[in-house]
Amino acid sequence: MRDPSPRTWAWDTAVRLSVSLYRVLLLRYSRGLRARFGREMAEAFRALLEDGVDRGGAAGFASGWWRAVRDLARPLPGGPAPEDDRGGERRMGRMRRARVAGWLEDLGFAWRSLRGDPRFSGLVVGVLGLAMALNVGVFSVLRAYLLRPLPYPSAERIVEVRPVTDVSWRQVGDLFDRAVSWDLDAFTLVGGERPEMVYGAWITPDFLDVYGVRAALGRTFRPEEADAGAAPVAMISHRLWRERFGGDPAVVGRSFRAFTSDRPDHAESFLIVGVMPRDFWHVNRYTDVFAPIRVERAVYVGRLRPDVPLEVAEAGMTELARATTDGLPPDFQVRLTSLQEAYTASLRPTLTVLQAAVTLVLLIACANAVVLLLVRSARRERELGIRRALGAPAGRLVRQLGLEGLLLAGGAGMVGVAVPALLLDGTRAAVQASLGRSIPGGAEALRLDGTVLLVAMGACLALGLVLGLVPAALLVGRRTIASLWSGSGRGTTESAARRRLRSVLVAGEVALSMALLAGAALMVRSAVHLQRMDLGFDAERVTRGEVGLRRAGYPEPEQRIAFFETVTERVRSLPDVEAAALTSSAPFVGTIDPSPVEGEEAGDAARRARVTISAVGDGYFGAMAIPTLRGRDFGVGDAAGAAPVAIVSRSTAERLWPGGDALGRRVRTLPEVEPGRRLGYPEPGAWHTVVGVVDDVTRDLRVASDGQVYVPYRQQAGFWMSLLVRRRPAAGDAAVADGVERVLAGLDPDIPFSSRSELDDLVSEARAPTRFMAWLLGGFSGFASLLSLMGLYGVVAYAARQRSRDVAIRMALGADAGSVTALFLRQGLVVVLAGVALGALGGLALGRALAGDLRGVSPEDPLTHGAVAAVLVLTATAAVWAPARQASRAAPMGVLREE
Amino acid sequence: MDEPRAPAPLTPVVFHVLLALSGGPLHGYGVMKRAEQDSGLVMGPGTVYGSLQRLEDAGWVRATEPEGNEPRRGRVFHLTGRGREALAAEARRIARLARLHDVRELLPEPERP
Repeated sequence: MRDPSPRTWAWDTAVRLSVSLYRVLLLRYSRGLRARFGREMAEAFRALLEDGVDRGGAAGFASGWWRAVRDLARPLPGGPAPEDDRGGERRMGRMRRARVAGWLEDLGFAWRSLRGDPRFSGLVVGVLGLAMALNVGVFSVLRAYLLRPLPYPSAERIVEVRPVTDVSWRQVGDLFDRAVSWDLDAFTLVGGERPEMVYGAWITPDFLDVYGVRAALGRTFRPEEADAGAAPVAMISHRLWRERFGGDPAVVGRSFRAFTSDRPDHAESFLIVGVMPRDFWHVNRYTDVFAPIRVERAVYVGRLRPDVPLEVAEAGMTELARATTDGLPPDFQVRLTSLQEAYTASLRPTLTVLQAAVTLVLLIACANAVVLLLVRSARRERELGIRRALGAPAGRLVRQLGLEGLLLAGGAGMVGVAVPALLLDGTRAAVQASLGRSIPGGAEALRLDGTVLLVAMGACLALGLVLGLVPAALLVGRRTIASLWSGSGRGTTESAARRRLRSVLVAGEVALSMALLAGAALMVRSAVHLQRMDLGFDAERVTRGEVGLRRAGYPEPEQRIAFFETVTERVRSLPDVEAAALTSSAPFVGTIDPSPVEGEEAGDAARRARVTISAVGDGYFGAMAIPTLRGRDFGVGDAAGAAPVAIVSRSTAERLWPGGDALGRRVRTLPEVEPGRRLGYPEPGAWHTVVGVVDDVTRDLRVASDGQVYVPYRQQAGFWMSLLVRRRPAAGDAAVADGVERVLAGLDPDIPFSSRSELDDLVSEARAPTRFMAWLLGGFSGFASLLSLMGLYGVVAYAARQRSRDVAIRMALGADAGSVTALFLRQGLVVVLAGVALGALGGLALGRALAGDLRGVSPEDPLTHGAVAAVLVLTATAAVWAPARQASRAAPMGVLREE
Repeated sequence: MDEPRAPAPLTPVVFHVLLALSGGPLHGYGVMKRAEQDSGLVMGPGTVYGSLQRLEDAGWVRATEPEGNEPRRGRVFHLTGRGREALAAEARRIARLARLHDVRELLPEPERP
């Protein structure tokens, strides 16, 4: 024996506890072996552990345990000779086999029992499977957008700097290990068949590094290529490579000539050093040219140094901003937001609401399945009672019911994964279009990955437990034997607990459906509102495109005005064209944050408004069919030298000069220094005299404003204008675009008609997310309501069947059919009303969660909520009435004779 | 040696338990340790006592109450005459197999030209 001295008290305790545990584990062996050698086996285990600890401490302890556990997991050895051996194994095998066989038998039993009732099983698996499929689908979308990290190195440290300050990316090295800035620009590519304007970005040297870009072809930039005076180089997008360069594999080393805004005098030649990967996305989807930045820019985005916490970086940036810009308000504060959060902020509420909605659908489906199972298990009460009476242990019955639940959940899980797996490939494009944002990790990131499957499996398991255990617990909890002695089992009092549970579940289903229906109705009303909403202008048959002039070719405002006027006139005279006009920003093109303006003679805040400002050409209001309410349109007289004028929209006029006449009043822009917004102009603009009032237009569905202020472009002639062209009803859009391009080519061969789009397409795209939500929520709530009506019908029909004898006696004693119907109707309606009342509260909560997506309807809109409740009560009454009436129609004597 | 029929082989566990006991009586834990030392065969208590149970039932080993100072470790097991015979037969069988192996595998045929 070893000297036990090296063992400590802690090890002794561990050994003692282990031996106690091992004694319990010995139950795995046969009773005979335990009786004969149990104590000695425990002692041997103790010796094993003690020796192990003496020899190797923790490792020895672990190896002792490992030896015993492995031993426990093995079959016992057989006798000395092979014959005995086989005998022993046979005996062991029999025991194990018996145990396994018991499970298999019950599984088979459960399977046959479900297969014997295909309508029930099919219904439960189908309904639950569909609900699971919705959940898996929505969750995979949620994961692709919100949960997967952005596909950049150290993505969690990449932050957006807001508001954008005057702090240059060169100044922030202490806070960021890589600071990123860019300057979006339009590159007019010349030298090809026709000029083409593409969006490009001048980028800081670290840009590609932060986003971890590897060139698909060629290389990324070298540090010296960002130096001042270096020869211009560029990387081009995958799209541009394919479309303009024909996918030429030898494109690297070729050059293209382009006009850019900072060297407008002549087209520069850019050497192509690389092609961006196809799935690279940043800034926007359309950036086609990347070149090293040549001017000082404020930092937009950066990757924080690993040792700098977010709060420290925020404080540091705020301090730098104060040092750089004078006169910042005392509460000015720079905020750093994770790029992922910034990118997905607008989607978060939508996706969360969708996920909540499908989770509700799953809950309803689950409640429905439990109700169906309860009804079914009550039907099987006699069968189970007999089995119990014949000696089947309660545990066995529970196991069988549990296995049935697991089988149903497993089937539902398979449907729930298979359906999205089959459909996901085809829906990626639609999902991105409907949400209005591309998936951060590329379209391929929307897939059923491990996490999604794991969550699905967890949901499936939980479902199985609920479906298996609830009915089993209710069933075995009572003395099912009673039903044996009560004749057919009908007419006996049914378990009150089960009846109550059924009613509560159905009421819950009705409540959840009510909530979903209310949410869906609100969304549908928003979508209808947006669809029918008077935009204030006519978007039909309007082609919009950008016309950009080079600084060098048109340095003077007069030259630019002359050019734009000639273009407009020539386009107007094209045979297909009904009207044409210029504007600095067409409606539904991009999002423009409203700017603050103030009306004259008003020092107080009440006379301020936030409006969208655009510079327009003559005839804009006519071309867009915007009604002029008072005053006049702009004209040739509103030129650069003349008094500044403006036209305001109705709401702006009412806001700035309530109750008064806007004509002749003056309006000017205000400086804007507000946290969360870009630092604006430090000085107020010039006063403009109002010469006309027009009707309001909807510029954008997302950003609300107090109306519009228009100024004549002749007084602020920029280099870029949107040309809006309304064609005649019979004309095609391509022909019109072709005509415009010919007009431009006739004036200047280097100027393209770029970013062409149809105005009504833009409007439709802007409406898409609301429409999408309305459709989805409408579908979900429809499905949910169908389920709860089904549950309601099933429960009432079942109750009626249960009490058919009772009813028959009443009717035999003279009760009329009406009073019987009323009896069931009353009982059903109590459940319905309780559900609707509860659901109304849920509907209000859901409405509030949806508030950001609602348009033209308030989240608490009483009409919507009331109508939904009324519809639900009516349909539910029908679902209750049908089986109630049936019950009253059964011939009383027939029922009684059945006994 | 030249029996017409080879004796039925023993299972490795049984063989090693018998082998361990051939050196003298041991308790279960002793068998476990001895087998590990002799041949590196690692067994747990379940395996050892499971085998001893069957061997005792077959009359190949006999358990006696321990004498002296180790009552805690339980009974000790002796090899009986039948047990010793079975062990010897198995040892012979293994030796013969080893010889066959030597002849056939470890002395490779000369390469043909």
